[in-house]
Amino acid sequence: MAEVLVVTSGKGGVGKTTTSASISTGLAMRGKKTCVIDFDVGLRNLDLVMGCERRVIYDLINVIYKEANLSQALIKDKRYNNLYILPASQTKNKDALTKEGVGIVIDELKKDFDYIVCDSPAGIEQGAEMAMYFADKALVVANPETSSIRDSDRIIGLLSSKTYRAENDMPPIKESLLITRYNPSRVEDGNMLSVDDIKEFLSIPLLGVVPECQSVLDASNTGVPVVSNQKSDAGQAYMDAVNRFLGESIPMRFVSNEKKGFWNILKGKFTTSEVV
Amino acid sequence: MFSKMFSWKNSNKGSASAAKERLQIIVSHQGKNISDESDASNYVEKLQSELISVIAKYVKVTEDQVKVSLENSGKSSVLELNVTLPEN
Ligand SMILES: Nc1ncnc2c1ncn2[C@@H]1O[C@H](COP(=O)(O)OP(=O)(O)OP(=O)(O)O)[C@@H](O)[C@H]1O
Ligand SMILES: [Mg+2]
Repeated sequence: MAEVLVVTSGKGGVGKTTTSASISTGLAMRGKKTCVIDFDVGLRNLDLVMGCERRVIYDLINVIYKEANLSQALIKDKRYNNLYILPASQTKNKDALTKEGVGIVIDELKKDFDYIVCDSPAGIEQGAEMAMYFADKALVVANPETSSIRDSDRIIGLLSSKTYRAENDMPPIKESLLITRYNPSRVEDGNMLSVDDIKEFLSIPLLGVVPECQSVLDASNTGVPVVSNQKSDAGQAYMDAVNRFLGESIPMRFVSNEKKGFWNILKGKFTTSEVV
Repeated sequence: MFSKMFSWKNSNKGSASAAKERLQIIVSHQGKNISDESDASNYVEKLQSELISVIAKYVKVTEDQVKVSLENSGKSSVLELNVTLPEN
């Protein structure tokens, strides 16, 4: 049975597109037939992060308005043959997304795919609402910042009220939390909210913690989702999250400054004394 | 005296503790079952603004002179109200 996963946050720029790209690629790496949809109509980015921007011909809006078939709009990933991208339109705006239209597209995708990942735009308006409306599961992406946490809190409220499942008295959307851009050393200094703090505020299960990592920028520069780079911390953290999503229990990594080898302790001493 | 102690403690704890204190007011889902409520906004935030308007009826205070904080301690929460009264 196909499952629809929305990646959402309320706040902009917290890592939804990065996460959608890596979770969908990770699911494909694990052998799941996956389609990732960009709901950021007017400001599409997912194609860039997935490295397929030059192959976009038709988009989600074309399919909704029957200007193209679904099969014409779906872009097959270059690296994984069970991964497809459905891009957003760059010229229209979010009001072009209709409940009926999106519903038809998702129903059709459900026949063919194991997972449908919906990359939500920021905000709580039409675009975000359409991205979450048909979801079975939700991944709430949050940064360790007050504004991001308040917005996540708001989004969690909407997931349990303004969605198909909520409106039709079905079992609620299964929500989980993904904390991104986490910096354990700043947490240890007392200058960043900790994983435990955030978990307490949002009280939904934690799927993973992705550290702040240079390799994320490298990945978007090259158009290869960071999960493909298993040498990087963020890549490993995303793969852990994918495996947990598929039911494995894996301990959290990158939540503390573990690498306290001799050299690191020394290095730490020098850097702190420099700062002070 | 107590407030002095607290502010000293806070400034030494780094900015994360300030973030926690502020979030306690504005986030509605902590420790609660999320599904029992739709997207009704948090009552503490409303309570804070209503308290301010009530206090303002009797003394001249501005918004930042009234601080409401919610502290979770085990099973119960403590609501703390701090009003800085003007000099005269
Ligand atoms: N773990 C990370 N480490 C470092 N940089 C990151 C990390 N995650 C995301 N970023 C960077 O943050 C920026 C925003 O990421 P992204 O585009 O994924 O966010 P978004 O939530 O989709 O934004 P929008 O709301 O605009 O759609 C990008 O420049 C991205 O490279
Ligand atoms: Mg995005």
